[in-house]
Order: sequence, then structure tokens, then C-alpha cells
Amino acid sequence: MSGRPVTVVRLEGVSRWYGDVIALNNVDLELRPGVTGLLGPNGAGKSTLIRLVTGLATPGSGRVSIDGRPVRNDMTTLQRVAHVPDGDGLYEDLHARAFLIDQALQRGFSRAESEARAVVVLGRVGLMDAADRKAGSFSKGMRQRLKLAQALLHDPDVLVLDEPLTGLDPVMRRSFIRVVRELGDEGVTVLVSSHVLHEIEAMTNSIVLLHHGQVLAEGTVADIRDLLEQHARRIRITTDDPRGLGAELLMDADMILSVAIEADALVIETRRPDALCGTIQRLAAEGRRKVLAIESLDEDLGSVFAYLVN
Amino acid sequence: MDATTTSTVGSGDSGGPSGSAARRPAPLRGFAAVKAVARGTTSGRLKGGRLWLLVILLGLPLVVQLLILIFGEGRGSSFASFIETVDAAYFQFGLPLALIFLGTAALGDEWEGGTAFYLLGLPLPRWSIVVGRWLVSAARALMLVVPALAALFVLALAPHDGALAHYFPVFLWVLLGAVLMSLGYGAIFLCLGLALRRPVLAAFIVYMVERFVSVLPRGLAKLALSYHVRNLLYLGTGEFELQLAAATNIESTPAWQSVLSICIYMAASLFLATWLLRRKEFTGSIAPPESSGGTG
Repeated sequence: MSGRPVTVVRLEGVSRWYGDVIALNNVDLELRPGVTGLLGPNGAGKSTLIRLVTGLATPGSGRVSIDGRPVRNDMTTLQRVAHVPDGDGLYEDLHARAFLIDQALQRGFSRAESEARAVVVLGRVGLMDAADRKAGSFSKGMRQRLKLAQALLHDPDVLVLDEPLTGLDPVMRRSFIRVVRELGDEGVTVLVSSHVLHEIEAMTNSIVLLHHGQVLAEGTVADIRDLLEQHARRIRITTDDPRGLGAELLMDADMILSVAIEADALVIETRRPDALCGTIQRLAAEGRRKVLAIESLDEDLGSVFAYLVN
Repeated sequence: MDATTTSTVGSGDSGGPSGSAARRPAPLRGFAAVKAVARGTTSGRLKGGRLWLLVILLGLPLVVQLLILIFGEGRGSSFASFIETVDAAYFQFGLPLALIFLGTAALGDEWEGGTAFYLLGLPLPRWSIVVGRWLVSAARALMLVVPALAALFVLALAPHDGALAHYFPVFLWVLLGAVLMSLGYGAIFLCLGLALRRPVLAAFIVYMVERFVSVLPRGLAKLALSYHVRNLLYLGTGEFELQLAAATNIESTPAWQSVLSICIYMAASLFLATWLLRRKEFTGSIAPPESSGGTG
């Protein structure tokens, strides 16, 4: 982190409407160096928040600042910010290298420095082999990497990534995640959005939950999980004898809130999923019940938010 | 993102951009910013159907002139026919059409192509982006039209001994008219491209209205930019000035008045475009994010 200033992004009472629809509602947020995950289902307001932080849009009310300076139309601040948007837009007729050189030149680097930086970032995102290919011929994953490359060109203090893992294969995802974590470790203030919890978890321990334009919760992944554990979860157990298993599990009434029996499975609602799984495991190990599969029905982000909202 | 490269650069190696933030230059200002914008402008270029349409339209008068040269036995190859063709084919039609396409695309294409976030994220004064793009669009239009004008000049006057040298100053005057027209209309159409969702259609309508105004009587014509461009063209034609002006309803307005009028249009359009760009947002992506299919 040496030599890099501590950069603080601050949103104070920020709201934004699109016609009658409120996209962000009185959001207060402070982002510091390191990676912060912005988590929320589609339509939560993540992209709007990102556009405000990167100066692409103006808040309806409130203030967005980086180290006390406004972002929008402020050249000094914009020079410190980089953005990997969720959109697919690239200059299709331009070679990857030429695109990066143009971007660097417009950020004030000399021709030689621009060319050198283009080579470094192309290497960093693994696009060196495609440096002289037109962006129009790139796959979705390559386009994502090129967008990341342009964001890294000027060594930003603030990096904002909107759904960056979309379209990447598993190997690329791992590399992308590693680069994001490295940037966080280097002291860059990174904000990365996703609607997939495990993607965010892989990049950071610090998350902000956004729902219906409001910050629902803020803290570490453990904090959020603690919140979740206060809520009931539904678990589906596939078995050859749903009724028998259900009757046996109901003997521990504290553990079970409700049971629904299906043809080859039962769905149990519980506040203690770990204890329930332990009991099932024991019954299966003792050979008393044949359990074919166990799955949580509420691990998707929509359910997580439903819990928190309720 | 191969592992070798990632580990090298990701560790903050001094050879890459991960070094000290102090290595970042200050944002560009003034002419340097305009130059950087102009140099880096790749969007808004003519391609495909529009390019071919313009090449054909701009080349057609040349083909006609060539046929006249071969089969016309001297008829139609004169200075007067050169000026008339310049006016009818290029100043009233070809150049405005090129500027409608190029001017509206100069900034409008960034929103249409989903690349506006690169533009708005650049630490460049908004006026420099507008001016840089405006100059590029005007230059691109001139690159299409000037070779055609030069070829027409040669084809129309080459058969007459000494005519090329004699009328060369007038040709320069024609070029000046083309430059002023490109700058004037370029600014207006750039502004429309920024303000409207279907700017090409709007630009056509604006141009047609403007052309209509340019033939109105009692000085009303002077409100139109095209009037002043044509006025300059005729002022430069020497002995044919009055004859051509009478034929086309142009009053003889002093050159400085026409140049000033064009400059006022230009400045007003650029000012408005800068104001629009400062307010312009990027609020949508061209492709919705795909579901990654993961769960918590």
C-alpha cells in the first residue's frame, strides 16, 4: 500500500429517482481501501449506486464524494477513478492494444508510457495474445478482461466493478477474483457488485446489502450469516420413506417448525439447520432411514433478502 | 490472466501501473485535452452503407463531368458550370449529408454503442471533448468532399488553357466555404446528436427547415447558415458574382457578416453541446447481465 493515499468514498443521504421509480433511497455509505462487496438482487439499485460513485450519473439528492471532492465532472477525481461497467460496450473496430493506448493518452500519459502501460495491463488480464485483435471479435469473457484492463491503466485509487464475473469461465473467474483481491491488498478502494453471494465472498469479507434502493445491512460476511441464522430455513430431504422420517424428526419438536410431505421427499422448516442435518446424518448412519439427498431451498440471494426484509 | 503475469504485476511491481499513484499525470487541459480527444476519437466514423452512399453521391458529379469532358465537345466545362455544380451537388447536398451523418454520430454514437461510460469517465474538460469531436467530424467530412471538389475543378477547367491557374484563388475560396460549412453544420449536428435519440432524422428536418429559411425574402434568409455559406461562395466567384447571385436569390452580403454569422451559429451550438454533455448521464447498459447461476 506504500505511496497510495487512503481514499474514502462517501455517499451521504443519496437518493435517485427514474421518473416515479426510486432507485436509491437515502443511502449513507462509506467505502475505505480494500474490497467491499455490493450485494443485491437484480433491481436493488446496485448499478445506480455504481454510476453515482463513478460520476456517470447525478444524485437526485444527497452527495457523493471521494476524499471530500465531488466525482461528477470533477477532472481531478475522475483521474483517480476507474470503472468496469456491466454493459458490453467496446469500440468494436479498435484493436485491444490501440483502445488501451487511446484511453491512456486521453488520461494524459505520454505515447511511450501509454504503450508500456497497455502492454502491462494486457499481460495482467491475460489478453496479450489478443492484443492486436479487434474488440469486435472478442468473446464475452475477453471483453470483460479488456474492460478490466482499461480500468487498471491509470493505476486508480478507486475501482468500481459492476457484475464483473458475468460471462467468465471458472478459470477466468478465479484469476479475476485474484486480481481484485490483490488490488484491495494494494490499498485500492474497490467496490464490486454482484447478485451472487459466493462470488462476493470469494473476493471480500466486507459486504453491503442493498435492497429496493436501501442499504439493508453492512458488515462482514459472518455478520450477515449471523443475521440469517435468526431466520427459519427450508430443507428438502429426498428419502424412500418420507412419512417415517418425518415422524422420527418430529420427535425433536424444538428443531422443527413445520413439515410438508411429498411423494419421495419431505420439506422441513427449521431454525437449526445444522442440528437437523446432524440428526439426519445419524439416522442414515444407523441404517434406520435411507436418505438420498439433502438440499437447502433458501440459499439463493432472493431468499436471503426475503429473510432480512421480513 | 495467466498466473505468471498476474503474480508479477499484481504484486505492485514498479514496471507496471501498480506503482505509486504519484506517477499518474495531472488531467489534460486546454489544447492538449482537445488534441488528445481528437487523436483518440474512433467512434462516429462513417462505415458500411452510409459511407458507400456518400462516396457514390459525391462521386456522381465527377462521373457526369468526366462524361461531359469526353463527349460534350467543350460544352459544360467552364468555370460557371464548376461553381454551379459545387453549389448544387456539394454545398446544398453532399456536404450537408456527410455532416448530418458524421456530426450526429460524433458524440451520439457513444450512447448508441454503449461506450459513453468511457467518455464520461475521462478526466477531460467537457468542452474539450465537444471541441475535439467536432473538429474530427468536420475533418472527416472534408476528407470526403475536398478530393471530390479538387477533381471537379480539374475536370471542369483543364480543357481551357491557363484556366486552372487563373481560377485557383477561387478554388481556395470554395475550400474556405467548405471548411466554414463543415464547422458550422458540424457543430449544429453534433449538438443534435447529443440532445436527441433519433438525431439523423432530426438533423434532416433541421436542415430542410434551414434551407427553406435561406430562400425567404427581405433579409429573413440571412438567419440561415446555408445562406451565408452560399453567399461566401458567390462572393468568391469574381466576375460571375452578380450573375450567379441574381440567379439564386442571394443578396450580396459582406463576407465578414457571413463569416461572423457562421461563427455565431458554431459557438452557440458548441456551447449548448458542452452544457448538454455536462448534464448527460449514462444510465443504461446495452446488454443486461447474465445470471451466473450461483447461490449463496
